[in-house]
Amino acid sequence: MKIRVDREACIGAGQCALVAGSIFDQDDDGLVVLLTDTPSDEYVAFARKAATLCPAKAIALEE
Amino acid sequence: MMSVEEPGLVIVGASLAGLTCAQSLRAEGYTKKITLVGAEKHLPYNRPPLSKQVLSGKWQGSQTAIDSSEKFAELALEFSLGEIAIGLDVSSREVKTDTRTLPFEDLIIATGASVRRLASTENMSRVHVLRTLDDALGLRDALTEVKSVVVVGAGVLGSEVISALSDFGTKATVIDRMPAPQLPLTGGHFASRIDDLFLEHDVRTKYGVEINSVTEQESGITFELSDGSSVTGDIAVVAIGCIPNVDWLANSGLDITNGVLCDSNGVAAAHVYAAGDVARWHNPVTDKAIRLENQTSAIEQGLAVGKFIVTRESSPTTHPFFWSEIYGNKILMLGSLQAGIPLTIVHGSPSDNRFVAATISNGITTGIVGWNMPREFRQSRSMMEA
Ligand SMILES: Cc1cc2nc3c(=O)[nH]c(=O)nc-3n(C[C@H](O)[C@H](O)[C@H](O)COP(=O)(O)OP(=O)(O)OC[C@H]3O[C@@H](n4cnc5c(N)ncnc54)[C@H](O)[C@@H]3O)c2cc1C
Ligand code: SF4
Repeated sequence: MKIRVDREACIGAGQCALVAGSIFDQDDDGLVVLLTDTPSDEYVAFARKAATLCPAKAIALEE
Repeated sequence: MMSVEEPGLVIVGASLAGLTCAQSLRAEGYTKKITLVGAEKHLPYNRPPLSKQVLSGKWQGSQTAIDSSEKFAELALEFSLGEIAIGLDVSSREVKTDTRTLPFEDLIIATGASVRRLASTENMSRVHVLRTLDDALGLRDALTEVKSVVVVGAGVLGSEVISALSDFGTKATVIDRMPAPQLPLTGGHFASRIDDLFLEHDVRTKYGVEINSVTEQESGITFELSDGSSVTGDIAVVAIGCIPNVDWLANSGLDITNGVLCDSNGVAAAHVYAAGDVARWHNPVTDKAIRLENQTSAIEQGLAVGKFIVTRESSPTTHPFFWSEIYGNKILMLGSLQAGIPLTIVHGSPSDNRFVAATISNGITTGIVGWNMPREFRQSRSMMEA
């Protein structure tokens, strides 16, 4: 799985970092930063959860 | 994996709440047919950018799409777009639409909300509203040709529209019957900050007035106000709130007073659920049923309903969350600020235009707001759990 984030859409809500802190972080402006764009298998479910929860729909997953 | 004869699950309303329910059902292992019936012709899209990136011209309309049709096909979701539900029979488990009768095993009502119209302006071509992608594209086109706009409603949507107008160099006037601008869930704490932003950007403000009459002329539109003054613009944008789309449920027997009444799992009746802007969920903590109109509530309710249908497990109640961007200021709000008690500044400082603030009552944090401080806002969220 590959993760893409749209920093122009991101509103810095931080939901992603709350549910999947090993994949997503926020920079000083609060915008999402990817720690890895290819999560290992045990983290895929967390990435999916973050994408669903992101209120700005700024996280896309490519299987 | 699924047979054609099975009615499966029907979701009415193919937007954020409906789609999230469908994603959640599949993630929980639901294998039967899922049909999404949606009045709009578009696949699910995101509304928040409509008043932000789309209105300002930064984004094309297509950039608001939530996911691709290929993604939806992978989840085996059947979309029936441009189809309008007109009735529900709870006992025979059937939805009536403008084209057919659709049986269901389980139904999710996710019909959202529509804008409240200003009386007597429904058919005026110079009066715009903003709820759908088509509304946003129409308004954006109109804005390129006008010099002055009257915005009715100084709530969060009206404030976002006014701030977008400054990108066009358009003269704005705002009218509201309340004495000050209002952001949801902020207990009035941000009224003067928003008002200061309006003043800084030469917005003319008319607060605490009623609209006596509206007339459309060949060259513009005029509002006669209760203080004896009048306001004229090339066009008007009416942003006076939303009403839940429950008309089609009038004869269903469901309680549809200000939204579909649900228990804390989203159950409205046996085999009937509701989620998103149309739903009024019971909150077990406050013992009140309230309707919320924001992305996060639509997503969390969608996730909860999907999980409950498959596993019969409840999801924890969460705090409402919303965000806004007004003149470039990024505002994040969790829970609700209490009116009448002072703000506690947790990070930064209001005079620097960057801060996190909370209202704390009897040791309990009722809400926190981040103003241009998203990272610190996230770090402060734990205050709400204490
Ligand atoms: C301009 C704008 C800006 C916003 N900004 C923010 C923001 O910054 N942050 C935030 O948290 N929230 C924001 N919101 C609110 C957020 O968009 C809503 O809370 C969210 O869209 C709710 O999703 P929903 O699926 O419940 O309802 P909706 O998105 O309203 O979708 C309901 C769908 O059901 C369809 N429908 C209705 N009746 C029928 C019927 N009888 N038959 C078939 N289909 C039907 C409708 O056509 C619609 O497509 C904004 C909303 C708007 C309009
Ligand atoms: S959840 Fe979405 S909006 Fe929030 S920080 Fe992450 S990517 Fe950005």
